[in-house]
Amino acid sequence: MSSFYNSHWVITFLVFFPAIAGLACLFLPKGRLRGCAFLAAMIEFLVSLPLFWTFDIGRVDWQNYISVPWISDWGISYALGVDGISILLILLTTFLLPISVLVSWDQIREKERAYYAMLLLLVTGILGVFVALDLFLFYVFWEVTLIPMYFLIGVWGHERRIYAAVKFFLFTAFGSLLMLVAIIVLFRLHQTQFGFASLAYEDMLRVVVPRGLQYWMFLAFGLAFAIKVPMFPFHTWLPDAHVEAPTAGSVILAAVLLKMGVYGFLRFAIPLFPSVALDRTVLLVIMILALMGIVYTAWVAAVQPNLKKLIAYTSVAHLGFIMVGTFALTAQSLTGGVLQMVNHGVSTGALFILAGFLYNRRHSYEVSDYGGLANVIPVYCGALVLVGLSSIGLPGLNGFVGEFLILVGSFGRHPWVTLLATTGVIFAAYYMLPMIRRVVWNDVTIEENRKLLDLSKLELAVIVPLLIMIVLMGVYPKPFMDRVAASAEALSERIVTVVEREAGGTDQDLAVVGSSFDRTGTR
Amino acid sequence: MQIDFSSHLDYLWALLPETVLTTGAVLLLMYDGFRQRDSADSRAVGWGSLIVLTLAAVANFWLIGVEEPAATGMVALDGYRIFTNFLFLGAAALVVFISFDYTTREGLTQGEFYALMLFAVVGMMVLAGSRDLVLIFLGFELMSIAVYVLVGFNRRDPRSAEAALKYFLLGAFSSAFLLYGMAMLYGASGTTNLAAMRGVLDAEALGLLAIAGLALLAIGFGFKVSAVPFHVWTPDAYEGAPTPVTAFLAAAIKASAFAAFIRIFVVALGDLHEYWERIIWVLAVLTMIVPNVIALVQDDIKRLLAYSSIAHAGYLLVALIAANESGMASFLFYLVAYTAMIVGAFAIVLVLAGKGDARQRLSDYAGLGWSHPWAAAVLSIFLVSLAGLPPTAGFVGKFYILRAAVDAGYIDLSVVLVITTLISYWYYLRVIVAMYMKPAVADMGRVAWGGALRVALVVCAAITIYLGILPSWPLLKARQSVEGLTPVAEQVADARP
Repeated sequence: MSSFYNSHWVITFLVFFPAIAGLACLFLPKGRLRGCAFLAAMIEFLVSLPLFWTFDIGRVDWQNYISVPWISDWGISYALGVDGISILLILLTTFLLPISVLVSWDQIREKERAYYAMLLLLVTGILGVFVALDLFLFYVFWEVTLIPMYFLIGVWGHERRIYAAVKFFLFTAFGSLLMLVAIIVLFRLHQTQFGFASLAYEDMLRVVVPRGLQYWMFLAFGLAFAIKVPMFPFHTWLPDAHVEAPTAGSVILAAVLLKMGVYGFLRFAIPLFPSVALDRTVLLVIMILALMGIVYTAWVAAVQPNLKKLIAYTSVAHLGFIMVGTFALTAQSLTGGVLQMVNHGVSTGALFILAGFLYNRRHSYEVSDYGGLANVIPVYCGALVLVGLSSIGLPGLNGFVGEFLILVGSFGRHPWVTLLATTGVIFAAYYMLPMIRRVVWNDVTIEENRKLLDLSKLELAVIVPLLIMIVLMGVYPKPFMDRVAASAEALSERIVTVVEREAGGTDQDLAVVGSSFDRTGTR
Repeated sequence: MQIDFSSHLDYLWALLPETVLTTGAVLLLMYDGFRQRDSADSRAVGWGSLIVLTLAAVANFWLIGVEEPAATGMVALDGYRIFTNFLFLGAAALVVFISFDYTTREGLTQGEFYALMLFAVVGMMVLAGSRDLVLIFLGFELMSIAVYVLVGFNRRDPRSAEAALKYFLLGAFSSAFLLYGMAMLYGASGTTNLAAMRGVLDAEALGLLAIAGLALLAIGFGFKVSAVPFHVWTPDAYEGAPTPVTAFLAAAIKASAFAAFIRIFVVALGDLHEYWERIIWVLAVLTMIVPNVIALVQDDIKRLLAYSSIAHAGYLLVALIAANESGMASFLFYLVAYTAMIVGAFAIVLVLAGKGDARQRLSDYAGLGWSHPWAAAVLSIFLVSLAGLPPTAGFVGKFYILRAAVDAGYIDLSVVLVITTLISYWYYLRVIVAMYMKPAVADMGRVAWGGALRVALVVCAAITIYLGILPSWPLLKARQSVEGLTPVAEQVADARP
């Protein structure tokens, strides 16, 4: 057993089991389908759970690492591994999987087989992204996530689902295609510099990219990730996708899919092109965009009449925070960023689930259709208030820890940015509390709402684990932080040393590399 | 075994697959002439043609062990020829498999259908496997004449007749360009042998005659591979032709024209890369942008696939212009992937269209994903692969072409390629949207899936997925197949400043 958790097999299993289970779902009889889908999701989660303890705290190299040749002719390998940055994201994904399946039990009534197949397939893609250590493999998984999500929105979504699905697909595909070109350019550079073909992550870190080209490459990678995050002004696909997606789709989308973007920055864009990531102008642009995300979308969220749209905009604001922490690049801010990704996943996931519960009852996401629900469905309202407060970042709940670490970590390097970002915490209260007030408090104005039923057992089973996590991570975040800290510190140090070394060295050797990159022919 | 072309019999050995095919096709024609020419006989001729194709494949397999003294013979005996031969034979076999149902349904039971297809394959093999301009032209005509007839085979259908006429007129027109270009190159170099021509034509002192020949040749090939702006015949011909023939046109015929295109431009005229690079560059960019944009508004699925196939010619032109080893290898790999996915896609279109090709509009496909889940799922695999998304053959192929383009320094072309790919997502998605996200308009009812057609679909889908997940061995084969051609490509690489 222990060898299973010390080798790559656990990761390989986690990545491919959902896909196999998903394909099997297509052939199950309708009656057993939900049970089997939930069983598969639970197996996935239970198998992944011991990883939390078998993970070696303090080790900065890859754990559960594997690298075997896959497409040997191109030097492409099947390379997987886990470190402090990915471990929590993996566990978050597997934790949310059974919850998303359960939440769909009530909601999805038609075309169920394909639905659970797509949900499970999506998880394969996401987990693959978090563990892939070969750029080709990474890209394959990155694109594999597109199609299931596209179907989830487009088939089981609400009225404008096709528009939202296509918009989601084209926006994200645009970014990733440019990234593909950049990956191939890296491939080429590696071949000319080291004489053999490889796309392995460790090999890519050694590639010397000419300074001028670095900006373009960072732009190509960064655009793909920024669209996914999504950063202002590339965020417009997100509210549409969220509003139209079924609840489980929204949960996965907000909780994990967006994190792929931040993860991409942490794992690829920043370490591959460190001097660009710390370049003053680039930093300025990114910080401004992140701040715009925090402040502007908070204001937009405040005036949304639609519950799901409001939550979607809060996502953009929260991810703005995470981007500030990521690009501040101190050990603390990185830890806070990763932690906040998990926190945001749990609390925004819970918010979407709660919005979905309301929709199941009244078929409306409009805030104005509700009011005074505390008298009618007190348990539900208790959950909503708790989750809402955690999303704001109330001390004692999970949101606070991450935001605090980000702010403390970033202040040393970017005091002004941090100060401005802090206003986001206030704005968060400004959009979240009125929403809660209008839904939960006041009097019941609409007669229909008097007859609402409180949470069923199934719904409690869905929401309670999330509530436990919210409190647990708020009260005792240390085990979570410990797992991230070493890797975050190593990353932060690595970037700083690389940048210092590059600043010290001459640009001559870079120029030689660059000249081999002219176009064919007799220009 | 070594063949040095000292005796005439050696040519027979070197052309064994072609000989087998020709003999088989003639025998089938004769057999058909003495029969009733009803659907059972047509089926028999079809199976007969499959046997002939298999025999030719065996002969081609035997060619692997044959060596030639120098890479100068009129008939090439290199890996490139063997690879493309297998490709044409495989594509033809797939098309035969999907033709059974169609010919019965549409009453095209004349056995010549299959015989003509075999003759066309002979033409393709000659075209892709020769090192001599005259022989290449001969191959072109042999192939084209058979295909003109095939396109107009459904003579009761005015669309088919229109398509045949258009294809014939423009085909003849382009042949004239081609021949004129060949004549000028002959005039400039004094030889029609591609290997010899490379030694004669000097990039430093190139006469007007050779340049004009080059340009005319590029135009002729532009017509044959339907590169923009010489593509106008393609959508009409593809739409009007009987659907199996459309698949044949889109896959095998385009592939063979491209194979000759590469052999002439990269192998014979490789030293003149700087001259033709700009022409082809413009052709490639146009061929990627224009059809992808036009396809956005197509409502007829056959036409949509026709434009998609033109766009793929654009991607292949990028491989051609890269002109390095990975360029040619990616070209071969992409052709295999492309053949599997386009034949598969047309096969599904063919079946769903029903009698008289009544259902070919996108709106007919609404709700298909839930009424005919298998058909929709398999078609989705092909569409996703055509779009170039992982984990399918189309993605690996595109990755390879991009790699070749970046290796040769054409980052601009690779950016155009990915942007046009993005545009293409839109219309591939439109089909998927119709199938899965729109409610059905009219019930399609039961669709008859013949056994042979199922086999072809399974093979195409298996290739599409296999090449996407485990491409290692095919990639190796593709690379080894072009190894005989590399010296020229390396010279091109060395010509860089």
